Amino acid sequence: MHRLITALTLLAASGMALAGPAMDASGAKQATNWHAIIMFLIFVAMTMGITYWAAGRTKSTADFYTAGGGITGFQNGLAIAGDYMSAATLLGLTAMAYTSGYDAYIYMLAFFAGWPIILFLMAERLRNLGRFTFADITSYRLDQGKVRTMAAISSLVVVVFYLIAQMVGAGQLIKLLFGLDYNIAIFVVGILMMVYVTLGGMVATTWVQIIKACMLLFGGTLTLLLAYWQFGFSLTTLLEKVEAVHKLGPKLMAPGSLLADPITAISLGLGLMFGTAGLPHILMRFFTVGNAKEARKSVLYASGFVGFFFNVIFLMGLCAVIIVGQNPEFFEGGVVGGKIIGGGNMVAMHLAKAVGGNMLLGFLAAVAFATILAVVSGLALAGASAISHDIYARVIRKGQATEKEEIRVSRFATIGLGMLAIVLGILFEKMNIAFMVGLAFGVAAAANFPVLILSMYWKGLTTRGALWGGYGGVISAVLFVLFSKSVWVDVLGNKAALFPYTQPALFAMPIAFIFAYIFSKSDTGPRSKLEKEAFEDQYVRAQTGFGASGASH
Amino acid sequence: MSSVMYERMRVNPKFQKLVSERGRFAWTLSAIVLILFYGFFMLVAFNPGLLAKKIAEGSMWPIGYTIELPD
Repeated sequence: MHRLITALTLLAASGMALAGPAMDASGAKQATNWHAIIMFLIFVAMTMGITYWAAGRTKSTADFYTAGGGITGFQNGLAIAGDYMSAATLLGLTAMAYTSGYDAYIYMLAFFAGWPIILFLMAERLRNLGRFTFADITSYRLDQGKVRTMAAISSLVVVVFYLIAQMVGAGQLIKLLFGLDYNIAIFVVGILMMVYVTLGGMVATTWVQIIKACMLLFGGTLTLLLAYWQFGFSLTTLLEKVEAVHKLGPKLMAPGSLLADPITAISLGLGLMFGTAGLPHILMRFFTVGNAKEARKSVLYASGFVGFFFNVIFLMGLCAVIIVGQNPEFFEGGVVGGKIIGGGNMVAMHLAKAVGGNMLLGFLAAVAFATILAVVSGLALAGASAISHDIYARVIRKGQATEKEEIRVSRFATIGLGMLAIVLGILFEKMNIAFMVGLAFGVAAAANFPVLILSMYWKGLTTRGALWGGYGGVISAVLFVLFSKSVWVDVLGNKAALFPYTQPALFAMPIAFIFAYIFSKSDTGPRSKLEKEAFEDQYVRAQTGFGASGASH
Repeated sequence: MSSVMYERMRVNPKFQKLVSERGRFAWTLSAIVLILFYGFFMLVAFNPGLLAKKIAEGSMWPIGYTIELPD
């Protein structure tokens, strides 16, 4: 074990050392980047220390997948917020607020709205019924082999697409912020992720997410306070100035072109809302707390942090309209209104530099890097648990695998996923990957969520219905995205899209629900009768937690 | 064995009271969120102009931002 730690740490270190020559090539940017690199190295050192500590505590499968159920509601709330607020949130949504104003706020609201639903309808039952993966719940009274395979496949689809999006984003971001080569950045992220997850399991992953969430909240809030100060902390002053110079003028604070068409707007709302409730790495976090009460608390804290941070980001974007958008220093060739240096996603970073100098820029850049690491670690753990717990231990070995074997498989699965992420990250470097996060949410909303919610709430769900609903959801969501403009035209280069909308949820979700309903209703086999009867016991357990796995620490 | 325990709990009136009260509370809250959220999205989709209006004459606060703030 310790030899493995040393080997992997050395690998990671050599990745960092290689960065030397690449830095020189980036010329003028180099001086500013040292702050970021030093702060990032501090973060890595800290998290490596935690991983070392966590490795000593990770002995059983429960330790590995769920930190032994010993995380408190508050800690888990921070970790969920850390899982949910990716670098795309910080950079992408600030940029969106900067360019389209109120539309960004609508988008954030849709991103946020899933949380209350998870809190009211899901958190408690998830905790009471599940142990390591959400497939534990969907297969609770159904055919273990078939339903778990289905849930594991749709989990892996979500994880892989989300992972590619994060890796490509990481490479491009780090290239820009740190002046590192794209491939080196991908390797650094992939290798560090493998170290955290294989050695420290859920304990290390949780703490990486907690530290990163605190850094993100602190960095974002500080940047906003410094920027907002220039407007005397008055929204009225800010909006007056912003509307006066922004090219959208008074339309900035009105719903605009982003959601011009009602079908897209509603489909996006559905996808983001119920996609959140179907993301395997988010669902997995509910099993890390001791009981249903802590599970509810963690959602409450998480939504508090996420909601607060969305407001911070929105105001940051608006402040940037004046502070960055009116400063020639941040435009290529010094032309205000031209192309922003480093592209639109750099608005948040430029704002940090304008109000807090190189120190704040370095800090925020390090936070962005740490954010990607934390998110990919959570994803890798969720993917690895689908492979080792669902497919290996339950389907292939039919529950006969020892804990040791299961943990070993999940470590190999993590390394496999890490290498896959590195390879795919390099392959997709030049591709337009905007559709991938949307696809991940679409599959989560159309495949994971319907089967999960039906298995918890509808007595009539049978194995046949769950399989048709689940596979119907995955396949239709993937096909809708494939035939939409963002893949069919933008990636594959065809002339016209076969499916007119970019968001699949409004169409794929009903397919999943209707399939699950029809094929359950028409299922009259002897097995289906037993499955329906088993709902009664499941229902009592879901409500009371009686029989649920407790905390082992 | 555990099935017997589950059966005993299920018929306990205290369990039934807890479940029905808690269930009603959760569904009420969910309904409020869903109605507000999709109501808002319908507004975005079909009457975006309304959200752009300011909450009062001379104020810079648009209705749309104000109603979303409590999040």
